[in-house]
Amino acid sequence: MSQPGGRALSVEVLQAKHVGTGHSDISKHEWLTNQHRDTLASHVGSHDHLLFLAVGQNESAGKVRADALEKMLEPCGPKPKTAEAEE
Amino acid sequence: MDLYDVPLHPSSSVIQSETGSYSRDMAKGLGPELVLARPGGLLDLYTSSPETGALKLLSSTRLFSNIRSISNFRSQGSKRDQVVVGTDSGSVAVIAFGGKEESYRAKTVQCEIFGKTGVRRPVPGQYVASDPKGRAIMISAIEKQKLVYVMNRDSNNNTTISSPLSAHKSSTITFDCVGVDVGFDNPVFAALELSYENPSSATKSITYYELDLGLNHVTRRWTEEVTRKACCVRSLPGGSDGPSGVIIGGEDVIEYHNEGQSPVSVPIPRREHHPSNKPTLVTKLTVHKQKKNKYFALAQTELGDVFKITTTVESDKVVGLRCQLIDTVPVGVSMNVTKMGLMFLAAEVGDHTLYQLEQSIISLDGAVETTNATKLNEVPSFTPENLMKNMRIVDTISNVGATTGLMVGEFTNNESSPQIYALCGSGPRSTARVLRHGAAINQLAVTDLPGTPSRLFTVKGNEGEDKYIVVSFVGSTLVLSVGESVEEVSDSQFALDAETIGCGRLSDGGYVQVTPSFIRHIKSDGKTYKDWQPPGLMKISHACCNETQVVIVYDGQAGKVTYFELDESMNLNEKAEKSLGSEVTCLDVGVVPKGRNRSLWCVVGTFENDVKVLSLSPHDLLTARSTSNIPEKNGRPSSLCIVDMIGDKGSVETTLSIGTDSGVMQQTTIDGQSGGMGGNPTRRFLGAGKAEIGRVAVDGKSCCIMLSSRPWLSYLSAQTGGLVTSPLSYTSLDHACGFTSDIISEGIIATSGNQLHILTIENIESNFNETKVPLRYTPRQTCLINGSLAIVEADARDYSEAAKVKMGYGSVMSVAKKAGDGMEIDSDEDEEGGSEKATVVRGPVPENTSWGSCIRLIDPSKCTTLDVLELEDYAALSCCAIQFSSRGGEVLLAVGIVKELSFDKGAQAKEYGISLYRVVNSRLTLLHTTKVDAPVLSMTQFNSKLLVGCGGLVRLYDMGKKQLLRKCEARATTSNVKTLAAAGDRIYVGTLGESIKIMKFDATRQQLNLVCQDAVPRNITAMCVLDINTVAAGDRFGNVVVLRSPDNSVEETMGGSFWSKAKVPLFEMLCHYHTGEIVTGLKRASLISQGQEAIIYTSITGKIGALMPLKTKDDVEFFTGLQDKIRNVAPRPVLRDFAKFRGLYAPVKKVVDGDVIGLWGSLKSEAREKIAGEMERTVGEVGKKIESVTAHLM
Repeated sequence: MSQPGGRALSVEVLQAKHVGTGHSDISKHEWLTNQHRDTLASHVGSHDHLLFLAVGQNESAGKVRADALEKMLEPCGPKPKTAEAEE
Repeated sequence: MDLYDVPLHPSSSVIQSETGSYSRDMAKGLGPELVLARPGGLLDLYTSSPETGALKLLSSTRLFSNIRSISNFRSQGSKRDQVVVGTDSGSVAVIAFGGKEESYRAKTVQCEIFGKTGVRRPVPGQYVASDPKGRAIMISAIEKQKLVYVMNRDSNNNTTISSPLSAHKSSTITFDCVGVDVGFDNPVFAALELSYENPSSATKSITYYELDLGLNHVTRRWTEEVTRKACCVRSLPGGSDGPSGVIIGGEDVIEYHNEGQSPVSVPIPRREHHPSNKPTLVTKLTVHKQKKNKYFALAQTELGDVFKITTTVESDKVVGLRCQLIDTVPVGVSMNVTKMGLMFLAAEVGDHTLYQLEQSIISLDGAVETTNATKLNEVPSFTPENLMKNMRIVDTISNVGATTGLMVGEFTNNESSPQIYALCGSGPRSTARVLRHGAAINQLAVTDLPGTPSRLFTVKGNEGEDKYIVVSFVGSTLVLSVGESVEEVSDSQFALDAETIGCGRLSDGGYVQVTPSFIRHIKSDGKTYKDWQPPGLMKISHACCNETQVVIVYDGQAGKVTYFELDESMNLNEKAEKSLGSEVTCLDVGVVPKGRNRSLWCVVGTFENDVKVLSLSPHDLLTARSTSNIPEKNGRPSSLCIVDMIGDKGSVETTLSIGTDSGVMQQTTIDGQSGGMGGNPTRRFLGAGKAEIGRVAVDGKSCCIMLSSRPWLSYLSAQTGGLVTSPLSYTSLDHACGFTSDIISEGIIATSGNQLHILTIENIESNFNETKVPLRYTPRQTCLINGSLAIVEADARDYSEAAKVKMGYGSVMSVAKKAGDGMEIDSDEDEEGGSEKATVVRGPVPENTSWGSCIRLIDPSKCTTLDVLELEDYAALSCCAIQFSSRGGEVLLAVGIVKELSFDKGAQAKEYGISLYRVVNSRLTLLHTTKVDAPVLSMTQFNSKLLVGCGGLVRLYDMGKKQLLRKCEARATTSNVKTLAAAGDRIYVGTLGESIKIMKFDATRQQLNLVCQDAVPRNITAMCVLDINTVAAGDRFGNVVVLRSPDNSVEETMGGSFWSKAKVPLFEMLCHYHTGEIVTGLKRASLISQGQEAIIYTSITGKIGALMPLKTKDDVEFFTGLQDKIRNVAPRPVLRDFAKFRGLYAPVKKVVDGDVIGLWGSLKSEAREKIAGEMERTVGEVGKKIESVTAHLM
């Protein structure tokens, strides 16, 4: 891959540009958080998914949407403190 | 296997709605217009009538992309609004609506690609906002990306769009986005953002993004912390019209924020009985700008309560907020207030409603209210009421969503074709809807006649409106005059003591009446008449006439036809006579074309099954120009009708419709020059009983009404450009003809038995009409038991009906009753006033995990509830009719129940079980309940035992005295079993995580063996068995797949369980199709009796479609070829690839997209001709082929 000028695109640049892409040193927590955020964003963007969840739980779809967006903050809880816990 | 997706009913849910002036005709003082963005990429334009407020669909445009958001955009100086659409196409589109001459269709004005496609976290499209002055738009993603476009207009007044300016901020989640009204300063957009950089100390903030028009870049101008759970933001009028700034809706609070001033907040009144630890979220806000600096905002909570928000402004700064309760309405996805004081509420579930805001909304005296000075512990509370005080319902748009289940079949035992039963959620607005195919008919009047009529005519007066209705009986005639009312008259000079077999108005202003023994010509003065008697004792058996011509046939004279024509001296003269050599059964003469003296054709049907076209041109009178033979099996011709159908572009097609005495209709065209009949006619079975065809007008076009055991309408469709025959949803009629009067411009007058009906057709293009049965809770499943429908209803976080009534939350019915007693509303209000004020209120929310649930029996023919059994403590989630061999032939109802199911930490309940109920005299009585250890989501009958999906297990139960007895079980999945079906000794298991599995019951060892499974882990939501090896399944992402087990799979695995799991044969995927929305129902059924079977599917958003198998290789080649060619030439409104839209998760396999084929009619005629040429057919043939294939279905 290269930029329009012919310069090679560095992995770092791509990482920064595209949210949620993984890398070789990614921790389990980080990976899972990304997965969850992607899923939640997909729910919020798809009207039928919101409606499906709302009808099942007897909530308003607006509330389900707001809750999903709130959950994107920390979908898998806070980051583990120690290196072992991340494994 | 090749399938053709026939769209039956588009998604009726709404994603977002906007109001404004969109079409070019708006300048002519028409009512306000609404744009509705619907799932499946539909953009609908509605208008509200200025007099009655009634909503009318103007156009419906497919964008072939998933719409996520829309926003009004009005460029500077323009009087028309356009719509900015955010989709999953990776582009931003500005769409404008045309005027009447363009059929109000949506047209893309600008479409700018910015990057990646899809509904993804960083892809813009989730929110679109436009500058109130029309100078810029912002399109934002859920996370990080925001793009701003500068909008301009070129010298030709066309909207132009700049290249994007980015306003990205990483690690930021956007909740909502709006254009701030700052007058003519630099455009500012406000975004509600949450940063996840430091999750533990995260705060929500409102950020202003300023677009510097001079420097052409975007900066973050100002940011301020807002209430933590805020989720929506709207801007207040600014510049010279108001204080500017934004209002923000959060939990229990509404805040005002603006740069350069301190925020103001107002707590919202609380509901009585609402748990104190549960805040209420404001989910929707809308600002209504009135004239002269006046404005107010409406806020709706997640429970449906609507509040009016007003501001106190001092020296251009908001210093106070006031929040007053208006009423409680259904929870909406959008609220729009129009200039006429109408509020459109696009409901999340159930019908969308248009309300009129009453005068009382200006002051709202005595309403529950709070202000910014109200302390949190002093917030007043209120009990929502079922009667609205400040609004009334003007009109509704039907919404089948949220559809949770489907049944198809003829369950009423007295109708000719099957009905579709849809379960629609949710909560107290739940309904079961019976959908019948056919346009809805408005019944205007019904009157009794002295006998059963043999014929029916309408006779026009001089102004083009009908003057008389002539009803003919055996031996007598009744003449009714049409005025302000319809009355019997005797001074019309029509012979009343003889049966009329033909009559009409003549071009001289007089009338002609044909009876068996004479032809009477009533002169234009209306007083004198002249009778012509046939020679000898001959009797006239059939007659037809138009303004200048009369054709009669004698009885028993071997088809002796006599032709009369009105000459220049206004006398009816016998012009020709001819014997056809066979008795005539029916005849018709065409209408005189405008500017001509005569119609050129007369058609005659004979006893020998021939239909002949006779020429009426003066030099070639009564020569047979062409003959067509009706096949013996289709019956003898009984009715004929020639109609000049006028196409969209003014092309005229002379269509001959032939009805036979066995209920078959055959349609063909007559060549205007030669009188030859077109080849391969369209045939259709109308129903049991003699077919009768009449001429009517609908939407200004002449068409045919065809009567048999059910009425049909045949017309030239504006959408496909071809002839369409669609059923009308009405009782069976005997005779019908068109009717126009001062009041009714396009009516139909018809007889049924000894009754006279006056009707109008509401919307010929609408496919279904519906009957509703109100339910208490969200319907979960349904099954047929002893001819009635059993429905299990359950709602999480809800009280039982009795508890609700105790707390003062009655059902709507009880409110209507109260209103009738005059307790709630003034006694001078009529009954209508009660129903247009009634609203359904969601009851109080319990603190714990309580459920409300009931089992209901419905009589499908009367649509009435036979029995409702409330389940205290338990919730019913599944049901099935079961006939145990150990209990004789009695059919029992098995119900899967749970107790206190909660979703907080995954779905967990205190108790799971299966209850068995007896149904005696349409009453439910509990037999016994068996406890199980996992939720029962599906059950079915298998070899006169009950097969149960219990968690991930499949279990077989027999019936015992005190409980069910477990016979055998097998683990199907680690997730839950969602659907079960059985055929022969095979069991089809649809699971929530591992797709479909086929198991085989080994009777000797009493065990279930897995014989086939899927390679793809699908999340099955619906399933239906097509044949013993083939299953159709719908998944949670809106895909429908058809899977087939390899032929030898059963033999290979017959040995049993010692086969390792890896060797279980895998399904072969035959078809794959993305329907667009989550599929909640799949049924194999036909929609007309003895019609072709198809897979009928429903989705959660209320879409109904049919996947119809294409039978011949020829059909497959035709439709796939046509689909590809249309895809190549059809415009892509938001530049989304057609194939990618339908193959969102996996490429489409062996399914033809009916929506693309449906574009055929809207293509330009050159494009159509080119495609037809490539397919070696004519344009007409292609249209007819499309129509004929779907005609097999319905």
